[in-house]
Amino acid sequence: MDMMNVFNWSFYSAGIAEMFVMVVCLVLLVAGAFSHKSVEGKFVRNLTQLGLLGALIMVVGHIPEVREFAFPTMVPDATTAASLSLFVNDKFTVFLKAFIIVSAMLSLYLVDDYMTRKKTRKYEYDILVLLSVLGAMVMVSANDMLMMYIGLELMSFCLYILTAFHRKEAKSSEAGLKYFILGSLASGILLFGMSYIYGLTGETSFEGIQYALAHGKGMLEAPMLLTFAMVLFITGMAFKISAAPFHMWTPDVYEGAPTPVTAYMSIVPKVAAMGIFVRVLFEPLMYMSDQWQQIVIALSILSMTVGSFMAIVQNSVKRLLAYSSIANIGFMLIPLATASTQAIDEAMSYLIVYSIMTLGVFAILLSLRMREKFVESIDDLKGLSKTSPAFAAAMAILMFSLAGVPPFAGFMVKLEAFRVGVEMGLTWLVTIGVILSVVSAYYCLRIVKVMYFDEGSEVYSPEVPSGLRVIAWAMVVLIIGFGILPNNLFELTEVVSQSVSVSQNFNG
Amino acid sequence: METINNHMLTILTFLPLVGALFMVLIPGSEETRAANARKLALLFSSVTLVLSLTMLFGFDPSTANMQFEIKNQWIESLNAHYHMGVDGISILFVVLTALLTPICILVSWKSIDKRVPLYMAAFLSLEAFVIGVFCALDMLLFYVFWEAMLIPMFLIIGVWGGENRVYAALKFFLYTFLGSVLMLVALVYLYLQNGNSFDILSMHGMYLDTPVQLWLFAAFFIAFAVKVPMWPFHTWLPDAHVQAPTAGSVILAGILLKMGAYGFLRFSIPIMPEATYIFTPYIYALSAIAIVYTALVAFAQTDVKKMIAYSSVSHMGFVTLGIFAATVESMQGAVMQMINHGIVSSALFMLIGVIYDRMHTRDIERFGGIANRMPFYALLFMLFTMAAVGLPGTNSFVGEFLILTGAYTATHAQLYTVIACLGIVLGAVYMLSLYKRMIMGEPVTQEIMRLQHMEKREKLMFVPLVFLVLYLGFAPNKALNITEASVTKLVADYSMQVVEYENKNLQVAHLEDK
Repeated sequence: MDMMNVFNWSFYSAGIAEMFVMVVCLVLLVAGAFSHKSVEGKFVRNLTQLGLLGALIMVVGHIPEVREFAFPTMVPDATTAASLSLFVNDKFTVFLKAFIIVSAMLSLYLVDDYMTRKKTRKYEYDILVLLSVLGAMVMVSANDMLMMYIGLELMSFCLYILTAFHRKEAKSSEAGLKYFILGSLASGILLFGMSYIYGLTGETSFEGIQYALAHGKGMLEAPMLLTFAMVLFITGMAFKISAAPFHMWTPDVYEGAPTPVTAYMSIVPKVAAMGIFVRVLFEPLMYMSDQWQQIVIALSILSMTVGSFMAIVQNSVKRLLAYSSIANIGFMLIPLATASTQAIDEAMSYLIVYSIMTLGVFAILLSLRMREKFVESIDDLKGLSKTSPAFAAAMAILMFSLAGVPPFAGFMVKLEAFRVGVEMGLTWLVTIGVILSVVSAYYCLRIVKVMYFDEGSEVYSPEVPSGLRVIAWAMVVLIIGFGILPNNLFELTEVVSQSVSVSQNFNG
Repeated sequence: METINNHMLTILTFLPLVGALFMVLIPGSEETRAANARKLALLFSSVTLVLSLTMLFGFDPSTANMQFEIKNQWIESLNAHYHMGVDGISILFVVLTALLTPICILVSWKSIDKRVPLYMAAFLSLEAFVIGVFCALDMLLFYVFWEAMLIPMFLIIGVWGGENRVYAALKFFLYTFLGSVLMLVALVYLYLQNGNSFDILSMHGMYLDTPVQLWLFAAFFIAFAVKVPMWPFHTWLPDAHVQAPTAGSVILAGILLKMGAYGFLRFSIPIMPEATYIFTPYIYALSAIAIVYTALVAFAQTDVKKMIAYSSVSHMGFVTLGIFAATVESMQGAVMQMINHGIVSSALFMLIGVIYDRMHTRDIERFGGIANRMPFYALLFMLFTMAAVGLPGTNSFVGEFLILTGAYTATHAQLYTVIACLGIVLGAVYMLSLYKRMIMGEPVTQEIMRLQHMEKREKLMFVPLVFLVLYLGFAPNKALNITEASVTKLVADYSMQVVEYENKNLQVAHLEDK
């Protein structure tokens, strides 16, 4: 290897944001450890926000027109440059990374009030969030199975710790342990699938795998084994996006984790996992779409069914949201189940709007306290429309949007998902989807019912941090805005989705 | 004036919504907010009414084309447009909605005393969405209004309803939601078939294969039949009616039920004529069952609100019979009958509301001899009972007569028309017996003797309805003129498609014979 080339800046420039976040993490660890007890929380928190802002500027500051690569494993020459890089940077990754960073910044606002009140505010929290953001960023910009795995693990380990952050509460530690065991199992399965794919194709990079599969490598020698490997791979991914039947950890972890962690967990890792799932399906596994299409259809139907029906019987708000997230992943998988690259943007719009709704709901839940106790069960919301009408109205709008009732954004993205499903000939799947969306409307209505129809005695504490209020209403405004004029949203996702699978034409 | 006319439908749709937003902003204590909310709601809905009347007078009845049309780009990537317009079929419903909303606000002036701003906001947004449904000429826009309307109605039933309101509200929402989502799939399919366009008018001319039409028709049919409601999809209605507050029942019976029938006229018949033709006999049967069966059920009720609710199902049976008989007379009669039913059943629910506010019961056995105490009330009740029965000189007579004469001339409809005639008799039976049990005779309890007279507000809110019952009864031509051109065009297009379909079938049969 030519030493001159190793330090060529163009090899690394596409990964600058990740490197920056990593440096910030290390600096903050030291700063947190050495700063005075009385200021450490604020100090680290502000620096974290600043670091995320810097990363955001780095990500959005350079929007690549064509794909860029970073971290070559070998000295690139003209022909093999693409297939030998660990990192990729295109509009899709920029979009996902920007979205991840912004949601992480917002969800950091959610945590302050909650943890200060519970007296568990520690500077490590911010650093763990920052590290998991790093993992998520690495994961979505991975161009290689190993890089993807490293990103995934980095993200997941931080989340295990965050889940168990209230280590003195049994539920929290239990959830953390559960999440750790099941998550590791999923990672193991994923790694197992990767090893088989590597064994059969001899490649770890996405382009390499795609190229090999396009030329029938692996498919000709051991079709069953390759399919098996793919199934393992998708199973591992399904764990991470919590699609049924690999959803078992979700309700327990959602319930056990501290609420701000749940909020963070239901957005950032989902976006990252969904993003890389899309890339994996439509790039390396492009030429196996006949096989994975059936799996995705099955995952979609199961998730919608399990999520919608199980959410009905829940009493805990967080468990309900967990099942709702499972159901919504099912709806998000409808466009992907068409196995058409034109359908990616529908899944992405759904993902964005779903994240906005979730963030709004959690911001409201974290704003409501009665006698220093945060909302846990659905019955805690009784009569909310009388005690705090503004929050009840915001919550009701988010719930109607979650149920897919116009004129809110939840309807528009569902419509898009259904439209593309019908267009690609999956009318039967869409029909199942719409019927299950009625089922899922029930649990959303139940929350509205509790807030508006039932009489409540509890009065909520009026002092709400203004940050939470602003976030909640900002999300509601976005939901109404995208519901009435979704043009910008659809255009954005269309542009970014076009950059996925640009290199599909090998003429293999 | 010109600019107002150009944007008339936009103003009509969004003015009430603006009013609803104002409700949130009213400052002050609980009482001042309530008082101001009432006045503001009345103001906004009255202005809407006045505007809708100017639109009605500016309407040109000689053409079947859309009028007051507005078309703007809405969602580019979906090729959806903000496209509004009214023709002879829809304009009357817009005006009826605009008329009934201020009446509803008057109805709830005193009976609603908790969370008044929210209530008024719900009512105004309901008005906005319903007017939007009747004006929308873009399918997506139509669907958005159609579904959005569920939210305020859900709240109206659930927050201000009776003791079993939660069940009724959830049932109402989920029932209609299930019907509508299937329509959504059909709608998306139509959109793709129509070259990625949601334009309803361009769908009217498109041709679809017969099996496809059958599927689409079934999906639309469920959505509309639930809304109408047709037997056996009607079970949500009695619950919703009984539990809803008076004004909720009024708007439900007066307007929301018409949306389903309007859907048949706007979507099912023009877009899927062959499927309509194939399904027509079954719909006749369902209508006949609805007319007779629910009339009998109504007779058996002890709850007066439930009785009127079932009678609504029965009366809407006439409407569906008239629509699907698809002759000019029957269809005009059906549109007329929808308006009539909107007036008469609203008035009946309001009358029940007047007595409910005083006695807090809906049990027929508890009433009796009200005439002794409230003669004016008895007179009003008499008038609207007669209108519900279809006495000549009232508006319902015109509608029912047109439906029955029109339907009798349609193919295969004679038997069902005869059964429907039987329904009129049954209608007279339960309505007159209701009148006898409630109004006539000696007072059954002391409570009746202490009843308060109707106050000015209560009398005032019946004035427009009384006027319309008699006016449309004696001079129905004004209304019929408005609908004529559009209905004639609809029937002509439909008959042409049916003839073509018949010819095609004959040719196929001919070929098979060879």
